[in-house]
Amino acid sequence: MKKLKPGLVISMAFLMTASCNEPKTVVTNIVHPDGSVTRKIEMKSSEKNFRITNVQVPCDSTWTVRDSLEIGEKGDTLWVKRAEKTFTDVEEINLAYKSDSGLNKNFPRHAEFKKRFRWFNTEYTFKEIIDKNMHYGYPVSDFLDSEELKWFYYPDSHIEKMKNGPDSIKYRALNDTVDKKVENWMIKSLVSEWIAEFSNLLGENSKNELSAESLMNNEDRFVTIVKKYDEKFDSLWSNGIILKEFIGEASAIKYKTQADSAVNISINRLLADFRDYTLRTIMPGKVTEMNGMIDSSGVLMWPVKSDYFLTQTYEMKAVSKVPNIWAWIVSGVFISFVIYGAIIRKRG
Amino acid sequence: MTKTEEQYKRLITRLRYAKPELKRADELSDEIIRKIRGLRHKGLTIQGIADSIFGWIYIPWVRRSLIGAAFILVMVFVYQQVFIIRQVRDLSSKITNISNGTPTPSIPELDRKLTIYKISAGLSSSSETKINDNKIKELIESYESLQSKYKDLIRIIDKNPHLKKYVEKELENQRNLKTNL
Repeated sequence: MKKLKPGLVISMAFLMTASCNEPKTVVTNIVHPDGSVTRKIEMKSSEKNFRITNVQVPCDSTWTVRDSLEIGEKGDTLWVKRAEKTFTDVEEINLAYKSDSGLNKNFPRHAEFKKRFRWFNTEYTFKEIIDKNMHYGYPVSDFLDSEELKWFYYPDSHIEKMKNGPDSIKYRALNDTVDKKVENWMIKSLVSEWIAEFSNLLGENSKNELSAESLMNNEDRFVTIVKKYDEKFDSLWSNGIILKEFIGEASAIKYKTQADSAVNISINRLLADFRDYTLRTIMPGKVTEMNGMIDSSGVLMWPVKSDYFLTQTYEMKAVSKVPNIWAWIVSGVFISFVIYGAIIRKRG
Repeated sequence: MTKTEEQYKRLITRLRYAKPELKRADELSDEIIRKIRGLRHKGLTIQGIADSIFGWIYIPWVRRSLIGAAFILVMVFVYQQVFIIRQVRDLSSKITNISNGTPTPSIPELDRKLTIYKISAGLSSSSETKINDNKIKELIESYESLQSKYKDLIRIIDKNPHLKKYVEKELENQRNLKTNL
C-alpha cells in the first residue's frame, strides 16, 4: 500500500508543480486565418544534454530543430533548443497529442479551432483543452475569491517577483492565504474522490451506511479526520485506525481492500506526473476575448500546471476578429445605392 | 378612241389601282419600328440606364424591401462594432500583464487605451507593432501637462515655508513606515 500522509501528499503535489531541474519550455501557437497553426517550441536548460523528443508537448523528427547557446539573466550559460512545425489544421495537432510519447503523454489534450463568418467580420476561436484528472473533485473557484484566483493562475516566476518587489508584505500574505486554501481544496477534493471511488468499488455490495449518499454526507467529518491525523496519517491508515473512524470497525475490516484501492486511485490522480510549460497564442486580427494573460512581448500566454486541471477541464481560449473589407465595400455601395434612390424618389 | 387606246387605258387604270403584294409584311413592319426606335434611343442612352437602374423606386414593395434591408445592414454593423468595442474594453480591464516588473497597477484612461491598442493592434503579427500617431501625441501631451503641473506644485511648496516643512515631514513619515514594514 502506498504511504499516506496528507501533509506530505499535498506538499508533493506542490513540489510537482515546481521546477524539477527540467528544461523550461514555452510553446507558441501562431494561428492562421485558414486554420493552419505554426507551432514553435523553445526549451531552455542549464544542462547541455536534453532531448527535444522528451518534451512536454508532442515533438518528433518531422519538426525543424535548431540549437543555440545563450547567456541567461544571471550570466549563466543556457542551452536552447528551438523547434518549429506547421500543422495544416487542429486535427493534425490532435493526432499528434493522441500519439504523443513525451513527458505528458498520459494527459488527454486537444485543440479546437472555429471560424465564423459574421459578414462584416470573421471570428476566429482557438482553444487548447486539457481534460481534468479527478472526476469528483471540487472547482478551485469554490475555495478562492477573485483576487486569490488571479494569484493562483499567475506563473511561478511572476509570483516570485511580486513577493520580492514593492508591497512584498501584502503579496506574501496573499500567497500564504492562497496556499492554505489550495491545500484545503486539495484535501477536500481528495476525500471526495476517495468517497466516489470507494462507492464505485463497493457497488451493490454496500450497505445503507456505506451508500454513496451516506459517505458524501460524512465528507466534512472525513476531511476533519484527515487534517487531525496529518502528521501520523500514514501509520494510522496502515493500521486501519483512520478507516475505522471513517466507516466503523466492522466495515473497515470488511472493506479495507476496496478502501486502499480507492486511496491509491485518488492519490495517483492527485499526484499525476505532469511537467509544466507555458503556452502562448498569436491570433489573426484583433483579440476580443481570452482567459489568459499578456506576457512582456504582448502575446497571450497561459501557464500550464497540473493544479489547473486537477478537478476541472483547463481551457485556454482566445477569440479574435478580422474585418472583411470586401463586405464593408459591398455594404457601403448597397447602402449608398438605396439612399440615392430614396433621394431621387423624394425629389421626383 | 380606238380599241387599242381603250385597252391601254384599261391596263393603266388596273395597274394604278392594283396594290403591291407584300411578302412577310409583319417582319417588315417590325424592322421599320426597330429602326425608328434605334434612332430615338441613340439620343437617350444615359437616361435610359438611370431609369433602368433606379426603376425600382417606383415599385413600392421593392422600394420598401431595399430600404428595410439597408436599415438592417446598418443596425447589424452598429451592433457588431459596439459589441466588439465593449468586448475589448472588458478585456482590457481583466487582463494581467506579466512583464519583467510588477504587475500592472490600477491604470488611468490613457494607459487603458494604450493597453487596448497593444492587444488589438500588436497581436496580429509577431514581427511588427503598429501604434496610432494620435495616441502617441496624446501620450506626449499628457506627459508634458503632468510635468508642468508638477513644476507648479514644487514652486507653490517652495514659496510657502510652512507647507514645505509639512510636506517634508509627511514624506519622512512615509519613508519610515516603509522601512519598519
